[in-house]
Amino acid sequence: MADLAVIEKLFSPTGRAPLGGSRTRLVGLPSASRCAAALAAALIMAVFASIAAAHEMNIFVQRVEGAAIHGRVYFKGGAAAQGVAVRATDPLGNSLGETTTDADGQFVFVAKTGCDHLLSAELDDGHATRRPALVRRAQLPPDLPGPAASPAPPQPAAPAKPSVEGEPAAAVDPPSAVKSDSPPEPNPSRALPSDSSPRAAGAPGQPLGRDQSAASIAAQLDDIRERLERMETAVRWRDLLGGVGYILGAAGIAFYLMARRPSQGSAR
Amino acid sequence: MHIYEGVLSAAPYGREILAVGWGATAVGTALGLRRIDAEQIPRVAVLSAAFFVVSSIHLPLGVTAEHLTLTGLMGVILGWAAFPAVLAGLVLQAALFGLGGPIVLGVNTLIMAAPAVACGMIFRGPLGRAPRSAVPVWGFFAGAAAVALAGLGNGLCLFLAGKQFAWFGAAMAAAHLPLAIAEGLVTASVMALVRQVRPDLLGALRPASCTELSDG
Repeated sequence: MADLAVIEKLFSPTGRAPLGGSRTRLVGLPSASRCAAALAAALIMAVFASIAAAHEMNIFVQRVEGAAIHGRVYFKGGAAAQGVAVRATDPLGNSLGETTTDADGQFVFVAKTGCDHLLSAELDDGHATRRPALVRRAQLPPDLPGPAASPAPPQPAAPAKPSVEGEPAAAVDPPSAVKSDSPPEPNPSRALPSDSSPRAAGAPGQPLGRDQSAASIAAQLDDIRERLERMETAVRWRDLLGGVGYILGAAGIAFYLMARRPSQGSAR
Repeated sequence: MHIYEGVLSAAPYGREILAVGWGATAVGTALGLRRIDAEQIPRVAVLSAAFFVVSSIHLPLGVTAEHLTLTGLMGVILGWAAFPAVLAGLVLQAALFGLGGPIVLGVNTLIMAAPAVACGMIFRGPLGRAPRSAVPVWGFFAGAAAVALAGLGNGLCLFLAGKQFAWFGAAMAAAHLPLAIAEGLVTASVMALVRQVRPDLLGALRPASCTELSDG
């Protein structure tokens, strides 16, 4: 209740300390009105926080069908990045080509070289994907011309689908098409794991069932990714509070340091 | 309004821009810190915290996503102390959310804090002296100008660093226009409140008489 009395005094004309005698006020309270105004603005923004999309742009390779790399570029939170340039480079930095995302953030990049592809996206105003998506050479058809003379050794794919249990010992293959910064996900499905083995070089006409199951798995992975990101966003409130805490802590330290100094004249 | 880590480092004149950004930020921050006395610490802290919270909450805006900044407010109330306040907010954003990074921090601070200080110098006087009914208008322009200048500064830095992009100029201003309007509205309402209850923050003398305070 003593707080209320002090606040009342602060806002009543007679209780106001004269301008020069401001040091007699309690430290935190002079900021009360400004605090309230700033917090009100922040709280209004908080109403929109559930649909907020962040600056951060991510690129995700959904699947590789033959030589076509399908992926999506989106802002953190899931909003599509439309009309964004997607650039492919090889691990040495040479450009392998470019494509653009459509209205849903989807893109298709047709690989013409048999090498690892790093895909990244960039907006005109400087927004860029932090980490590129990687498509390994093994995911692409082996008949693509390589950058150097050495052909890539045929590597068994790591299948995510139950229909290819016969594939030998491929589970140790690290997730090749890696999303930029979400927590690690299971290997996104590849429509043609048989492409990476020497016997089915560029074989056309895979059974329809595989495409459909590939598409449905890709959709489910998208869903999982979005839930993970929503979880990540939820954690952010802790970060906001943490950041505010750091600022207030720094202010407290500043007060302490100032109080330790021998009293000097006001800095005005 | 943040420039991303690595964008400038890779650009042709990026290093020079980064160096200028750091130098100007260092000067501005030093100037700001010298002017902070014990009385000012709470307001610097509160505004820095508000800046940090508000600019971490992003709203989708067409192709990209933007956020309020409250830099107009900071410039008017804090003056040069806006530099350390913005710097603190941006450091925490980089550390906790990865928005921007240590190298580009100087340029980002300069882009946001320099317009804040400029708007403070221009608008603080009028906000303190104008009749109460005009305060929201001045506040609107203070907020909108701070955002517009920051947007121009952002574009200018990217352009000078050699990154050619088709949107420079009118398109860049257009992209920031709705943001500037939103910022202006928020600043206007906050300024009206501040002028009513704490006119000393704007450099105006607190009225001594009861009757004036009870005016609308």
